[in-house]
Amino acid sequence: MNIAQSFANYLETITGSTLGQTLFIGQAPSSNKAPDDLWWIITSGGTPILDAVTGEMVKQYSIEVYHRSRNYKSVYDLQQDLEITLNCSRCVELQDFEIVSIRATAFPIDSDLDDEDRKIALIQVDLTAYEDCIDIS
Amino acid sequence: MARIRGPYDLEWGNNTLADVSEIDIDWDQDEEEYSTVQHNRFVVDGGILVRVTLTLLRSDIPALAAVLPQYYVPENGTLSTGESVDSSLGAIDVVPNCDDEIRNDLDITSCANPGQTMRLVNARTRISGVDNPDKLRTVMVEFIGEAEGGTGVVQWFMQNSIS
Repeated sequence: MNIAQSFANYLETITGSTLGQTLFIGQAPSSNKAPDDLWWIITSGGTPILDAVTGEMVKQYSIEVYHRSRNYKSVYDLQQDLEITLNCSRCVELQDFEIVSIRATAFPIDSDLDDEDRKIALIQVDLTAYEDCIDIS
Repeated sequence: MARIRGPYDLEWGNNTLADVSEIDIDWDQDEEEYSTVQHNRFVVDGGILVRVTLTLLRSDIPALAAVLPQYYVPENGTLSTGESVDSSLGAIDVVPNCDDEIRNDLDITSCANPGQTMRLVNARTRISGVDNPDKLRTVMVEFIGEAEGGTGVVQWFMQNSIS
């Protein structure tokens, strides 16, 4: 399992969203049938910050978590709740990744370019994970 | 001629040691220096002591049990403080005791096919430090090569080439 799938599964548990319905990987669906209240994540990184002499690594990932809704207060509250949850989580466990640390930063709420009545929140998650370099699928 | 490089495969006895972030080798040889009345100086070599310190990124109980078997207490065993061990993983109970020293060769094999092995002969282990950088606990384990009389302290050879 890759980092996007693994983090999305974790996000489902703490936001109550459902992957494929109210939570998506890579982008928000363009369909007009998609609900206004959505989460989506974009991941990058995998930068080794520690190389073990035996080949294993500690890697740095950056995950952008977006949330949109028509209700500004709802968007803001959920963004703040998620930031606190992530920063205060003492022992996050993601499938196939051993998390060393997780840090979240909330950015200002913005208007959705596709629909100005809709608001978008961004939370950047910096995640450090230990990896054995085994095959992932 | 080739450069010797990692990642390295580490073995101590029958245990493969993975998740090692650092290998530190300390080489110390005794010597005596003499000067003659003719103003010549001579150095007489003495014994060699080699210590290899591995920094273990994975420092859970099974990993420590592999390199520090003298401290391992299995499930249903009893800790030195009297408690019973209920976990199937057992426990590590660091009780200084030189009676239970376990010695194996430590092989450090380079990345190649075949690789080249550097062997620390007849090495015993002990903990030389515990660190916790960036919330990731590491344990430094020192392998002390104490070869028996007449045998080498350190050997280099091609992987799987000796029998």
